[in-house]
Amino acid sequence: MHGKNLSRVVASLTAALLLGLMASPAAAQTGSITGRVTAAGGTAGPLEAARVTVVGTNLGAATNRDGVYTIRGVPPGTYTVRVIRLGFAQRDQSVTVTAMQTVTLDFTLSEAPFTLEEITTTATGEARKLEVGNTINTIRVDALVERAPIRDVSQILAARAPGVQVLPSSGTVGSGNRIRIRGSNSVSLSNEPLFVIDGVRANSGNGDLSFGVGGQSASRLLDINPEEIADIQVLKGPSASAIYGTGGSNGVILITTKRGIAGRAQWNLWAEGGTLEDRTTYPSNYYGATSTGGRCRLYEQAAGSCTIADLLTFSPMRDTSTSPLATGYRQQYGGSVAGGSDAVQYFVSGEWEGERGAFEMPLAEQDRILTASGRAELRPEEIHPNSRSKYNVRANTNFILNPKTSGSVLIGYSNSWTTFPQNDNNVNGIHSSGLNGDGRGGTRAWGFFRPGETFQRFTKQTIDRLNASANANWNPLTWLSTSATLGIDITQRQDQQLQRFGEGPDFSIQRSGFAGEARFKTAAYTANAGGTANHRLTDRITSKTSAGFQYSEFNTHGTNGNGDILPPGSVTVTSASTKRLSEATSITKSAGAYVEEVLGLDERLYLTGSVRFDKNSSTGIEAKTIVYPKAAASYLTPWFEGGTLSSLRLRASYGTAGQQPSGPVALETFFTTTGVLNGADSPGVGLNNFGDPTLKAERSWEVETGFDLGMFDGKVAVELTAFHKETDDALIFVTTPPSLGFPSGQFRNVGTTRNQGLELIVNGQVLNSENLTWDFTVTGSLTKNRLLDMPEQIPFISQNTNNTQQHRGCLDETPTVPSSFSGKLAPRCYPLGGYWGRPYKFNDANGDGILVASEVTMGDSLEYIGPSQPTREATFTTLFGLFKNRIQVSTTLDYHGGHFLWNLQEDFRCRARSNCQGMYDINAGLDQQARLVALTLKGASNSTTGYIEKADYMKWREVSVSYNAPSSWASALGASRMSLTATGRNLATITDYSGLDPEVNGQGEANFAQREFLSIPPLRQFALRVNLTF
Amino acid sequence: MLNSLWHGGLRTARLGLAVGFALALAGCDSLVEYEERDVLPPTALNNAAGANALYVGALSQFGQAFAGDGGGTEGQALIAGLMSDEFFHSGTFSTRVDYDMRATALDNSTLEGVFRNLQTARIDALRAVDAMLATGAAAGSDARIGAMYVRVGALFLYAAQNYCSGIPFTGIVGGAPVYGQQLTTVQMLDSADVYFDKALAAAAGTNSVNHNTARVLKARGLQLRGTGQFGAASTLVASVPTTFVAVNEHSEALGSTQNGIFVFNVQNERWSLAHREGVNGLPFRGADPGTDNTKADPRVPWKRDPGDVGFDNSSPQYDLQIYKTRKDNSRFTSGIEARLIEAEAALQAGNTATWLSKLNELRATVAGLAPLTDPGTSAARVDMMFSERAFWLFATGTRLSDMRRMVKQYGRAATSVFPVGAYPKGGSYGTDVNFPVPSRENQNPNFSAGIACIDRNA
Repeated sequence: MHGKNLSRVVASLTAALLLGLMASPAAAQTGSITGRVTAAGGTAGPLEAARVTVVGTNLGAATNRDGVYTIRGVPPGTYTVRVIRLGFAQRDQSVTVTAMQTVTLDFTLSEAPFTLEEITTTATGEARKLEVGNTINTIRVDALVERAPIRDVSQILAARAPGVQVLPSSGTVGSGNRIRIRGSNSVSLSNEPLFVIDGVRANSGNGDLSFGVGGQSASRLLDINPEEIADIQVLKGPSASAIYGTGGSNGVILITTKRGIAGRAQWNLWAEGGTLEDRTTYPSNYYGATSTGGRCRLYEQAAGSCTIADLLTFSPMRDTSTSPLATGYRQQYGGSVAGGSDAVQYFVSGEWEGERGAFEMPLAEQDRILTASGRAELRPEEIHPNSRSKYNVRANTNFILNPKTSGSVLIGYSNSWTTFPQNDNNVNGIHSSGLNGDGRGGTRAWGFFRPGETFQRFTKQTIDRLNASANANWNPLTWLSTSATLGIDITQRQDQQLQRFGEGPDFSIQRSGFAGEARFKTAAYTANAGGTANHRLTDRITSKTSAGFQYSEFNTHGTNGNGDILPPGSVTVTSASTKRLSEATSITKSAGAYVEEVLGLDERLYLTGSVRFDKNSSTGIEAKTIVYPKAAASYLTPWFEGGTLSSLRLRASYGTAGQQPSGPVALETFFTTTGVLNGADSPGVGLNNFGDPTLKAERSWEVETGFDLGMFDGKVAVELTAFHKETDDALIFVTTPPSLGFPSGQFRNVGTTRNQGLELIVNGQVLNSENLTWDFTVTGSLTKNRLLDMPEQIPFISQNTNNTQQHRGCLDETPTVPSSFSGKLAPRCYPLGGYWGRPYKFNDANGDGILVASEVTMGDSLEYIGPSQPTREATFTTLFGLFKNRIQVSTTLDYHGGHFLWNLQEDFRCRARSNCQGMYDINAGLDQQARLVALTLKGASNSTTGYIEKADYMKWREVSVSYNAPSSWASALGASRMSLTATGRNLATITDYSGLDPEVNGQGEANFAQREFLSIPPLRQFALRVNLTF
Repeated sequence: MLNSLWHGGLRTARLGLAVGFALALAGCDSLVEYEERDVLPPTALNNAAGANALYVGALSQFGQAFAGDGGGTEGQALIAGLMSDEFFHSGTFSTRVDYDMRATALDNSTLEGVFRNLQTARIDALRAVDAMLATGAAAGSDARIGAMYVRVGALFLYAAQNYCSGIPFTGIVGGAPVYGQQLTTVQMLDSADVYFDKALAAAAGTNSVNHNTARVLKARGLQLRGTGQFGAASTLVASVPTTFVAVNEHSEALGSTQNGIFVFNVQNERWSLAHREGVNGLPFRGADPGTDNTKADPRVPWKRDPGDVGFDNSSPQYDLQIYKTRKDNSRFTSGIEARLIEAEAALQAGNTATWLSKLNELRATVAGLAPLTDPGTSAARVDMMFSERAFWLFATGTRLSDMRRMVKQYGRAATSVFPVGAYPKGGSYGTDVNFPVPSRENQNPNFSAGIACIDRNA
């Protein structure tokens, strides 16, 4: 942040707080409320971290480890005191406070697995779920990480919230995932949600790697340590995230890190170790040999030009002597301590984790490289090119200076390095060679290069990341609370790529040596300030008014130096005979102010209205203030009070949010380049962007409605939500006619994207006896994504061949039968990034079992095939507790369906490598032959359609067995509690998709591009973990 | 209750006032301002140095459009060479296989990039001219102006040579696109001539590089118009010295500055020198079977490392040795072409002796080339003429249009000129003799009825 801007923001926040103080009357003498919160029933005992609040005020406290709380500074009067804790029913009690006195008020809470009193965090503060008109999914991470196979934030989110799609792309250790909430909103801007950690906007960038490795890339989400997270809340769209304004249109993921609890220091230690395996059954490479060893394809045999005498197959990926795959491992060791007094609480943690992926240079290749190089040993990264090491430390402190003033200082630091293998769309790639070799094996087994070479191209990323925030809360009056937060999230990234002289794949001039080093710094700054006024307007009506200001800035700057042709032994860019240097800067800023009013009636009906005003930095984009309104209602009906149907809440909300592009997209700009003039490199320029001064920011609006039904006295909770989300005047990078040259497109406000869907969560506790508990969660979602109102142009996403994926608007449908009504048929509309292809039919007319070009008939034009992203999702998670929960067993099934995936891998093997089964094996079936003929033998009508396959799948996603050891075991180690957990992830897949894995994307974290292409599938993961509490 | 409501409202108003005041202090507009570093506004170029930078950028863009870049997108010389019989695709891109086997889909995204580079080079050159004139350059004496005009003409010419009839050219006027209508091949040649004439008028000195380039390229265009223009073409190039060469300058600085012909063929091995490709192809690797480079024609030198295969790890890789490094200048026309134009005009005029003498004068300039003798028949003379052109002008982007001329002007069947039969990577050669309008031209309002060439014949 520029110093001038920072000081301006700080001055503003100070002024706001001072004005609030000036407006307040003099403080009166006060009293205190203290007491103890305990659980009733089977879990009897003190309850720590329960929230105790004085209703209608900002007064409150949390219980310590002994369940004790104290609320100070309470003005004399009669109040309702409320206790809320997850897993228990809310409890209210009345109390009268007198000046200078302490009144004792104890609570006993009854278990209630699913309630509407759960606390949620909003941009304006905390609120009960009941008071919020949206569905907000909360994931209790602290409990989850102890017993689930969790390696990163995306694995926390996967299969735990309906409508939240985590789309993995590969099994490359250190590569990222895509996250989509309620479908894709934006054609050309990001569709990733906004991440906010402890109130500070966080760097969650995908594709964060300066040197290409084929398709996969790094994600900054991997820097975040799940062990540090207390909970994650998911705001799914503009109806919930409107208060976040610009940046909130794709939903918001709110991460809250763990905090200390008043009481004695509690130490937790954990250790985890396990395996990472690629359990894929790789296909063979094929070769049809004539009697003299020449190549003969089925259609050539049918034409009489040759005869397949021998069908040869080999897979270097499967053969144990050649396979570049082996069992990887994962290990993790960490500890934390939390405790403190009523005045100061702390949480400190540290963890190290190491992973080695599933790539390993085969022994024969190791010998070959050693012999060829004359070296005594190989470098570790040559043998294992995909590894990762990371440590995180965090220190969170909360403090209470006086009854009116509190605050927190939260600091997290992460350091990691990751080495990335060459793979995917990459001649240097490991799978690229293994799957593209020749069925004859031997020296032809590998398509391009052998592992000894592919493993020698070294890519490493090193990350130093600091995120910190300071928060101050000042409650000058019982009805007025103010808060200010300053936060930073700074990432220093160092990327390196190196291929030493004389080593590595012999492509282009690579073996002459290449060295590259890029250093980038990304700084995210956040400043928030606001206040909330609570007031009971009448006996029945409560009011909560919030207003505030938010400033956020993302600033990335760095340089990339690289060069080729190195001297032997050299590893530096300096030594390269040809050097290149580039510099890049990206800045986005947003400043906004908001006002929100929540009116409550009889604690049953809550009406929320808010409006946010934003200014953004996208230069040239219409400079008007952007207004993001929101309205919501939540109504707890009086129709059911306990029993089979125990509660019913109805809710509805409307909201808007937006996002801005990076850079001056509205302006005509020129890029700088180098040309050659009279033998010397000289500065040149070229057109970078056409510009359009009429551009407006992209805004999305959403309507959401649904209900929460409690059944069987809160033992079963059903949550059903319907949503309709649209992005009007979408900011789309519309392709320009090629006759206009480059740049190939221009941002325009055209078209509308729409997502509609249903989401369901059913949580249930089937059994709750002493020796057996049985809980389950079922989630499901349907999402329909469409691009509407596109004008004449059709922007494509090019996949390099045949424009297989496209963004298309609506096309008028031609009625196929006479219509009995006079109305016009609605045009047929299509999803973003849908698959298109030219259809074909086949008929083995001569019955010889071999299809030739004349037996396959192509359609005239491209037709829609299907969406590229899942439209249906369902998960089933169940948890059994045995013998007083001494043993817990849980498992999750994860279904995704309704979508297709381009099996470009098989397409490529057939078209470019002539090594697929359908080319030679008459037993492969006519379907395989037909798609091959349609792909390769129909000239300009060649079609990829046969390789775009239905990709529905069910994964056995997670399993875990936890054993809470007897206290004698724990005490033998000096601990108070000990648990042992065995977990597994990605255990089985049921699918008709014929490629390696329907979850793979060779395009990594690309916005829409989706295809399987020479990637390692997501790994199977087993781990054993021990947790100790002292 | 009213009292309570009043106080509640008052409190809310106080809070709102405080925040509102804070916002006013903050001054939101200035908070979100920032300095753009990576790109330049047009105003930065409104001076002589800026105009020169546009000029340098345009030169670089022309080099990419002609020769291709450091491995990303090929240029006109390479696509013409691949669809014709100069090169075979030894890479894996199916989009390149498609046009190597003469079966090009309209939505071939690789070719779209090639086409965009062609159009970008034209627009950049015209922008550079405008900028140089606006900042004081003299059209009549500043060689840079002529260099730009001759390149704009060349780009129209390449479109006429390699693409179907019906290619649009969009312009930018006052910052807004003026979408192009489809131009016939003759209209493209007319447009090329407009700029060649401007170059001839602009450049100082009758033997300047710009003048000679404009003469040869305009003469090439006259050849394309039909046999009736051969005489005029010959006259136009008469003053061009045989030793004249027009080149693009290359360096290793960026991918965009590298000699793409070298990179795609020798460095990245995606293009392999062909030999009798598809039955009808010429024996570019010399005497059959074309595996012994000591028998190479010195005009098309090549080498093959033992066992070397292309990027696809299966096609034999033959590396052209005209260019030895990625910073070697790429020639796009020459005085040799001028002599060949004269020779063909002589042949067309029935002056066989002059024709043969022109060819042999050129051959005499290179050691190892024996003089030719008259093959005796008209058809054989035409074959010899085009063979000589093919070897002399190898990888200069003329071979595809020469094959088209053999079909159109000399009455040969396309199946006897272009590669035919079984394609070595599977399937059969198609029937394309030129490149189509890319499908995304449907973004051009003038193509609202659909994408189609006016004529895809030779």
